[in-house]
Amino acid sequence: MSKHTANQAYTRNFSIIAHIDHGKSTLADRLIEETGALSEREMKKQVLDSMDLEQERGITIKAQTATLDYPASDGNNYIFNLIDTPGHVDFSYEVSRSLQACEGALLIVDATQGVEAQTLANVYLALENDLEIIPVINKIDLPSADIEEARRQIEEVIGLDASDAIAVSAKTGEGIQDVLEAIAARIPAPENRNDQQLRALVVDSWFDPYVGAVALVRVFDGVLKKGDRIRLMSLATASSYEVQDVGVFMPQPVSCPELASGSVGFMIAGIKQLADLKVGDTVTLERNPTSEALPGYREPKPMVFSGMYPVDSGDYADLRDSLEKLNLNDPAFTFEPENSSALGLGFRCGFLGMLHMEIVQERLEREYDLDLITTAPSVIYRMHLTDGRNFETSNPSEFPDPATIERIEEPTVTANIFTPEEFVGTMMKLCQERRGTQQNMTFIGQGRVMLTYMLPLAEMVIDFYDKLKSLSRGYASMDYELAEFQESDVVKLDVLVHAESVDALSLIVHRSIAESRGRELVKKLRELIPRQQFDVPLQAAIGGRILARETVKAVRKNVTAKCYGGDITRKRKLLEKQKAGKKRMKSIGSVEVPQEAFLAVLKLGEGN
Amino acid sequence: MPPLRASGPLHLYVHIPFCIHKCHYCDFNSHEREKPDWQAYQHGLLAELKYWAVTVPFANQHINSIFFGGGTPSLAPPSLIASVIRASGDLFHLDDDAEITLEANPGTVDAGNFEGYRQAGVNRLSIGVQSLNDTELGWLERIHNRRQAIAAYHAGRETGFDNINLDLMYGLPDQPLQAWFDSLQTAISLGPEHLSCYQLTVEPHTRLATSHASRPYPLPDDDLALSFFQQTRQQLQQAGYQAYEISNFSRPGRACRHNDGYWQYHDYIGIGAGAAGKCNTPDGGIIRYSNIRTPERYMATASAEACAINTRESLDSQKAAAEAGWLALRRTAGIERSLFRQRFHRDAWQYFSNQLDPWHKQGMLNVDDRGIRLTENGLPLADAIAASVL
Repeated sequence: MSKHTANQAYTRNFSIIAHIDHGKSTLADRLIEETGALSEREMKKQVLDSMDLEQERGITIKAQTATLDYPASDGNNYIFNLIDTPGHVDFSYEVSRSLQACEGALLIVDATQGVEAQTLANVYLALENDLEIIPVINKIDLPSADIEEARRQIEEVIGLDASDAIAVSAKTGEGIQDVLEAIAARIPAPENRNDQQLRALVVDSWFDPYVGAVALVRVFDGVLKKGDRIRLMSLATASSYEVQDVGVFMPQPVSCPELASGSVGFMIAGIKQLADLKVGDTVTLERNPTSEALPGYREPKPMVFSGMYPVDSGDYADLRDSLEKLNLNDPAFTFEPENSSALGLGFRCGFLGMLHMEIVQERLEREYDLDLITTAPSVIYRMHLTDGRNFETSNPSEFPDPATIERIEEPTVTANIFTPEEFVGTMMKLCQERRGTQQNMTFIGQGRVMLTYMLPLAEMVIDFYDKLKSLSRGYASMDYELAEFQESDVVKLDVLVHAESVDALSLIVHRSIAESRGRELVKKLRELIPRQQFDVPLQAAIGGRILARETVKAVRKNVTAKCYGGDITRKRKLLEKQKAGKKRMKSIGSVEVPQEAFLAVLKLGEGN
Repeated sequence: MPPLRASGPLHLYVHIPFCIHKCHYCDFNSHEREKPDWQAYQHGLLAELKYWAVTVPFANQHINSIFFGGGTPSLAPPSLIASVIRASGDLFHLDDDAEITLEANPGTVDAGNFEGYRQAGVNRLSIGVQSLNDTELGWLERIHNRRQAIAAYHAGRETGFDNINLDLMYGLPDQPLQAWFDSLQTAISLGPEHLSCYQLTVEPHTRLATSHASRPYPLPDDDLALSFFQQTRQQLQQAGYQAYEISNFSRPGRACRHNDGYWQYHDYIGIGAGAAGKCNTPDGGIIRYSNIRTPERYMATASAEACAINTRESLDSQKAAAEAGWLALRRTAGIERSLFRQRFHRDAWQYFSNQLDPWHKQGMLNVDDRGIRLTENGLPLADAIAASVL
């Protein structure tokens, strides 16, 4: 196996970057298959997306890798390390670490769709990392493929030379050999720096129940050997670990004695907690450490927050255990206990973004079988008080007394939206409604436009992407990156149910939209809260000022007309079902409120 | 087997599943058949009766009422009705004053048949009038009109029936209150002993449910439905009819003994396709069964095996008490504490007070030594109140 560790001249480290659905996983599968790493029979379709959720959603959440042997036409045997990258903006930090581990990247553009928002975001990340980029135009087997147009967009929109872009069909296999040859010929070899002090980048990490935390590492300097004692440079403590195993993915894990500079593989070092093995961290030797970590490391910082509560308050301990377990696999989300007067004991959870939030929720419900109430997502606000105190919070219940506020700052993002020309007006309107400021507008040909907007993150977390998709009939695409915090005139919008303020329904919103948001919210709640035996007033208020009011009318008649001998069983079961439905609701005072009501703010604008 | 607790009188329900046309709102077990095999059907009914006559706990019991329901029982030849009544007397003890009801569709009335049913022993007619407005009858897909409905009533009287019920429906799409009162007053003016007035309900798995889901009918909202419900009760009371159940009204002493038996938690035998039966069990619970619903499959099974049960459920004593409480609350007399104590060995108010006290405090229930009853305010919310005891 030493051939995998030694000869830098014949090693190629690369990633594939693409917009979602442009065929990244299919191309990866095809490369693995062509190089014979797996026989066709062993190939489960789209090998690299192994988590259930990833396969269902067609996205890559965790970076994975495969080491491939390739005998090129120049007569040399190459080792290709294909490092998969997550395909979603929530994980852009992980993407940039994956790209940092490479010398080159394949840029896939769908010949039927052209350049999309994520393509651009990922290319910029790749260029920041000085990667050699090989443009690949995919799906040329489709009748609507327009290779020349894709080529033109790569040149004009992205600004890359597309004269030697490779036209392929990952589906039929056409052009795959050309891709493999280009990887060997055009992507630079890593340097041989075996004589330096060890520096290995943690590209990805995950938790294995048998061996603990496992890292995917790229060795830049020195050699990482089995038996070495290593340190992780971001950890303040001097704790060191013994390397129990290193190896490569073929794509199944195969042990080898060492990983030399330039190689990519896994490291198992008896690290108990995944939180200690952070993506972007630098591995060095305990005895002969480097003084300078690899650049680019940062702590994962949650940007989107929401409260999670068990429907049945008896499940609180289960929820805590499940969060702890899930956190072992996904240290990027945070959670701390929170107490809501309406919902009882629960947790305030932080996520990298909206998708990340959905994934965590779904895993909790699916893998841990919990019924959850999730409150509307919120972002972090920086509160500056008149007495000079500052603090950050995402929680409406911690919103300070308005009299004590000097100013509040909220996070913003820079968003690139790619849209057909016919939807430009609609997209601009959407962005304006969401308090966006236009930064740029570029016509990119083929009737498509790229809009660049500065938007408050708070406006993005509430159904922005869904709106963008539905208003453009699915044609617009979007990517965003976090920008700075900006001062903002935000207020706390309270919701009162039956004259009782419900903390779990309150929101922090910009003053300019507070009234319309409040009005829509109580209107939506009126649809979601079932009628009770009495009228239930719903109000939206800022401070003591009522902005909007709706009433859930009392049930006045609820009686089965006919009930005879043959009907009794069925009618009894219907009533029992009604009663069971009530049990799943939360009682707020004397009002039964269903789970969906707590996410009503996400449903504004639906079905009206 | 330990002796069964007293369950009051035993009732017999006989289902006749055939119809000339199945109306779109109907969720009963009814089937359109051009020429039903009456002989085979009769054979099945008698086979079942023989089976139950030797089966605990029904064996040797007194039958207090028989009810021929449908479907359309008035399609059945009088000989079939006669043979079932005769067999009931032969195989069980049929009380001398047993109430024997037959449901009749005004579109199928044949004076000769009415005479035959009377001679067979039927002493009560229940006529499916539904409405006395031809436009409404058309929407309901009934096979009769106003004139035929009135004629059927008179035919019943002329044949000598002195106990007649008319079934009526209100709350049809866009139906004004006044249109309903016109039907109701016409029905009252005929002078029947009994009236059943139901609000139209969109039941699942009906054609009405399908069309309502794709394009909703303008059915009354809560407030209007409540007006229908309350004003119907008022008008009937003024006309001398007593409400003894949510939808049932009668002249004094003319309540339907058979139907009232269901709400009083009596035992009953059900024979025929899709019919249901219920009996108490020694542990204080109950068993309920229902038969195979498709007429042809029913006939084959009943004839071959003498028993055509399709599903069974048993409830333990606690569940049965809750169910009995729910059903009794539909009656004007409510849950009668002495009867409840006899049946369940507990006091009803002690047993249900946790669930019912909030309703009591809101004035939805009357509670006294005799029983627990819905008030006029509680009646329209009977389901919500009943659901709390289940």
